[in-house]
Amino acid sequence: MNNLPSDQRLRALMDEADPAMFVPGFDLDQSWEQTRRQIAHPSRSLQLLRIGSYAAVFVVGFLLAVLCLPDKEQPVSTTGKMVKQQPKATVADVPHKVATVATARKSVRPVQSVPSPASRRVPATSLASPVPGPVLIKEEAVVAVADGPEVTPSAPEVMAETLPVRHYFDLPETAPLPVEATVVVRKSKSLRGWLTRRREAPYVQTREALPLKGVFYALNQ
Amino acid sequence: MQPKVSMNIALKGHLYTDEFDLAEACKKGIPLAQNILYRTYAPKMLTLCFRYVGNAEDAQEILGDAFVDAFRKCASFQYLGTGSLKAWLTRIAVNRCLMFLRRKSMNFEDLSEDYGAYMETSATVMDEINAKELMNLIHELPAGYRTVFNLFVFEDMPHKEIASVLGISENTSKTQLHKARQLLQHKIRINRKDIL
Repeated sequence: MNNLPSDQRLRALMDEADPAMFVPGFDLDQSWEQTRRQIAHPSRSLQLLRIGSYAAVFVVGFLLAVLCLPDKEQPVSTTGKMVKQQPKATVADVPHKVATVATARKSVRPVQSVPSPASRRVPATSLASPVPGPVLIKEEAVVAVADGPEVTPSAPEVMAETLPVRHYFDLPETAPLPVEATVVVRKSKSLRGWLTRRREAPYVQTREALPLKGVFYALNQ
Repeated sequence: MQPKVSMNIALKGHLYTDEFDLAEACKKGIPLAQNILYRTYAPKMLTLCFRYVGNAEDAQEILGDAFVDAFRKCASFQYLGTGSLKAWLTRIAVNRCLMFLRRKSMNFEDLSEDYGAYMETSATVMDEINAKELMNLIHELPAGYRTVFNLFVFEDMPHKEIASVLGISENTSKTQLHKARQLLQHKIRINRKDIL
């Protein structure tokens, strides 16, 4: 050993050294027991660290998902840029939306109402029925202004989901069919909107009552 | 399945005599194998930790942490021949020691005092020194000198790696080692004179 270079001599010296020489109170059994316990039950700080890391991963993942996923409502142009689109007007909020858009942007054309396939298929006159009673007035069928018996809606149920707006009225038994009537619809927001779309501007001006004149057909058969 | 062998028999070397077998058993999380591994290597690792930190309590704490690390990272151990298990454990323990020293904000000061030229083959001085004396002298070195000296002399780490591990330049590492050697020899000489 005496002939070894100094570094190797030092290494050998340390290798042969008894640890009890440096750490007198060292108990291998006790030390192992502590280590074993640490392996079996990770420390509280380690557990918190682990939970924290899981939470951080979850939050980052959630944020990435929110920020990076493309919006299906927004179409993508050929250049890859998102095209800003006006939200689609649902049937229920057509009047409100049309009024808002019309005042804010004059270039936006009002939505045109499209008659349902059923109403296009069947001529209005063919639906005329002599049976008196509750009549479903189809406002799409307003074709002419004419004088007639004034009727007041007894059950002004606005069925917003199925535009054109329909109202149920009780017509006099003697009324000829098809009925030519003036109907006063009170505070019907949906109807006002519907009229706006039809550019029936004068009707929109009054908010208290909307006189609606026209030819109505009984559709209760 | 966990082998049903009494602890004494296992520790006498009748089980897991081979490093490879011991490592494989530890990978499977067999407590007996973990116990044998600890009992086999903990004393040497304790000396190593003590050499770096110079405090018995800290050394024991670092030793425990190092073995916990080792048992948790067992799956990453690759057997490369005899001695590879010890080398792997040593590396884990050294890393733990360096983490500890970093927390203590170890600085690599350059003592201006000159202790004379270091002589490479000063075996005459080294021959008469014992392990305890050497350990005490190492602990008297400043933290920066001591760490570089430990890594270079005992862990056989090149300056490039030392620089990378400690975040210093290679030249600083070389200077620190040179100064550490000078100071150590100086202290040994003084000790010799005192004894004589």
